Amino acid sequence: MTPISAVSGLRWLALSLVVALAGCASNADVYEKHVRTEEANPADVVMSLDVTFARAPDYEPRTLEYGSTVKRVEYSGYPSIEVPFYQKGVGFDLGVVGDPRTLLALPYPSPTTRTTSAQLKIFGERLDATHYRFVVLPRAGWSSMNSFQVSFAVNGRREAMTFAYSAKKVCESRFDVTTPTYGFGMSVAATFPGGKAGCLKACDARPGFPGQCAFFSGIE
Amino acid sequence: MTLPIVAHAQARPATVTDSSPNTLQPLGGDFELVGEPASTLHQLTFRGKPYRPLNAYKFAHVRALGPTQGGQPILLAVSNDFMGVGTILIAVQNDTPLARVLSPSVDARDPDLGLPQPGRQDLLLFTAGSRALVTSTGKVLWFEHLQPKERLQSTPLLVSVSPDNRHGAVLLDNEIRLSVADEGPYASVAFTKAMQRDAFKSAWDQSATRARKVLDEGKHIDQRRLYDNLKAEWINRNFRWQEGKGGWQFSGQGLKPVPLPVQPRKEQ
Repeated sequence: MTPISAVSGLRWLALSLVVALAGCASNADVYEKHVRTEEANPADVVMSLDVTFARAPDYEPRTLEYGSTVKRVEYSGYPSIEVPFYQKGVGFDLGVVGDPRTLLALPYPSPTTRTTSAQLKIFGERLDATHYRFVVLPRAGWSSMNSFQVSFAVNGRREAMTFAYSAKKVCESRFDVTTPTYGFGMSVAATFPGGKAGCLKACDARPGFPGQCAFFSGIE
Repeated sequence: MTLPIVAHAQARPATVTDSSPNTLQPLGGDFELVGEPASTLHQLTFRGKPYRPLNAYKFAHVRALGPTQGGQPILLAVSNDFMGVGTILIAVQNDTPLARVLSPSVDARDPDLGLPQPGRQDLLLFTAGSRALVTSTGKVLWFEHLQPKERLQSTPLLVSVSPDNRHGAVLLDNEIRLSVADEGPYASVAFTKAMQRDAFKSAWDQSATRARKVLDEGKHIDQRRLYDNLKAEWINRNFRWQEGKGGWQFSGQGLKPVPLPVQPRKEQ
């Protein structure tokens, strides 16, 4: 009895060590994750958006698979929404006390806050050529910026329209909007879970930061 | 790049810089221009909050066009080089100010304020972006020059818009394409490379002379854009729009538009 328990105890120690180390190296979370609206769990939905495009967007869906052991699936070729997320964490900068040339320097870690970002790309559910339905989903462990962009292409011309939303404020969440680059028209309508009222507003994009509003959105 | 700015800052008298309060200049509606009187760059606010259209922060030029949308004025703005997005149009949609790109050229020293189309009072051509602005309504027109699935190397240049503001002529390397706003090309005029070379020779010389003259005065202009705008002026002098039974046609120099094979867009 005793030797066996000792071995199993060692095994448990090794296992817990592996778990602890794995915790340190768990930053393998991909920057951009792809999901399809059809696959979304209705309980997770933060907001759903119905879009009617004035001109039918390009629709050539493709699926790409990556990875051998852990499969990762990406989609492309049809309208999607890109949702940005951020994470504030503690990182360490290396500080130095003393003069490094005299070999009497003492390096020390100084804590700083670091912001990392990630994205969720949610592909729309195609109702017909011009009608699409999208859902905004949370990403586990990440904070939301309460904004997203609808990305699509018409005859290969890529366009995106950025929106901000809030479940706390109430405003007219059904309106028409014209996109910034090519002036494509779209009608949007937002619905919040449980039929509650919320607020959706269009906003100006931040070039290089898809899905983020440029400073002013009107909703806080 | 930074050297002239440093030199400028040193040359400026020290008294103006710190103490002067920010001035507010109303633009009509809920828009205001904020900035130091001594500075040439200004910020925009909407209902007292800073407004950063497409993340652009400071503006070298902002002006209300005249027409309004949603009870607010439509603004034409030129952002500066840093975080700039070129020339934009700001209009309020559903109580939210939103920007549209008019010209992709980012140049605060010689901003692209559009070329008034010869013979038109209310139309500005932004040749490089294939866009035009109807100043009386604030409507932005965009002309697609590519057919579906087509790949072309030549850079499009919007040279003329028809009197009904629905059709545009886009100059390409070897032809002029006629296009319906927001929809796509429908005809082609065989204004070939060789013809363009002869036609635009004087425009090139003129743009070079003017650029050299301005450079001698210690200023800077975008000679490439000036040349493009002179090309557009030449085309407007030598071609004209006519409404025929086949829709709007653009002809001149003995050339007639040939309809392009129209592929109805697949609505799967």
